Amino acid sequence: MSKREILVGLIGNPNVGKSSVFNRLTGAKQRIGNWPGKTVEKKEGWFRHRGFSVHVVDLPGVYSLSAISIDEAIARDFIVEEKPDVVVDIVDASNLERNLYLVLQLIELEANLVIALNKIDLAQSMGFEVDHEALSRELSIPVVPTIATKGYGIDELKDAIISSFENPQPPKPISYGEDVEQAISELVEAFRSDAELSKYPLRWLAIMCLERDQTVASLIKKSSIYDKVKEVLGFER
Amino acid sequence: MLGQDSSINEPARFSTLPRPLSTLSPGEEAVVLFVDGGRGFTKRLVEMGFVPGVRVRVLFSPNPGSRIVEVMGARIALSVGILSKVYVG
Ligand SMILES: Nc1nc2c(ncn2[C@@H]2O[C@H](COP(=O)(O)OP(=O)(O)OP(=O)(O)O)[C@@H](O)[C@H]2O)c(=O)[nH]1
Ligand SMILES: [Mg+2]
Repeated sequence: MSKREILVGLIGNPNVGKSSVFNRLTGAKQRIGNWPGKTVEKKEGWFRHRGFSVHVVDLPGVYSLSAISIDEAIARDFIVEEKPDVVVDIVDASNLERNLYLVLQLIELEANLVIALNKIDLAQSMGFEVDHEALSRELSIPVVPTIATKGYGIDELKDAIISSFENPQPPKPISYGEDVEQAISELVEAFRSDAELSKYPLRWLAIMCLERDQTVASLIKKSSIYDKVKEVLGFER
Repeated sequence: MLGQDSSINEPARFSTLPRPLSTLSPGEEAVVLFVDGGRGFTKRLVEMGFVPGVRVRVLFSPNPGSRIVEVMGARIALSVGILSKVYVG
């Protein structure tokens, strides 16, 4: 049999039910350690589904991926450097607005996304009825409703992970209007000629660069195309 | 200054004079108007949920220098210094 191990990153805002989903997915097959060189706990687990062996890494709970805090840096580095086959973003259905910001950042990171729309019971008791099919359509991302505490939707989530691994669907990029898009495409062109930078999602790199993201800025300063980037950023303002 | 010069500001109406969030007492509610800070600071606060037009509530004060604030469905602890740069109305 061919090697069919799938690497999955589990991510979400704090308190969305990430640990509950992780435990439901992996059961007793877990290992707790530390992220290399960091004191932050790293939880890994495994499960088998439809003949696949799935390796799940629980990422720290974060509101964003700006890499300002150590938790954010860990989550972002994992997605950018390890390039997991699938990223499951646990979204709290009772607080959709806040949770969608991380979804947006993951889309820009070009992660192969599956959304677990968790706490739908809580959302319902608050009077919210989230149309998960419409959400999935709008984002072009599979959305699986779950109630992690009751195990509801977990099998469907496993199915969705396997389907996304076998058949990745790139989400629609978000357009920022003519001026910004112009700057983005000039930056992407510049990045393309640098071997080190081209291992990152280039559109994401460009957006981070325009946001003056510190981590991305230091990456670019070390690169061969720094002068070209300065030129483009000169147009921007 | 996000919220003062961009279209994101539009939903927030200046019905009262903008005042810093740090001046609200526990139990008081208001609407975020803008964040007064540099690019990185403003982005950070927007990421925490302090988006113009969003309702915020000061829950309590664990010590004189900080407040627990409810914003966009989350409870966040922040120093009075930081809250003095978030303007509400
Ligand atoms: N009603 C409801 N509560 C849930 C659900 N999933 C998790 N919870 C509850 O939400 C709270 C947080 O769950 P956790 O699994 O600890 O969430 P987490 O994302 O790991 O939280 P942190 O690691 O602290 O960021 C707990 O009280 C859970 O019992 C759900 O589907 N419905
Ligand atoms: Mg947890």
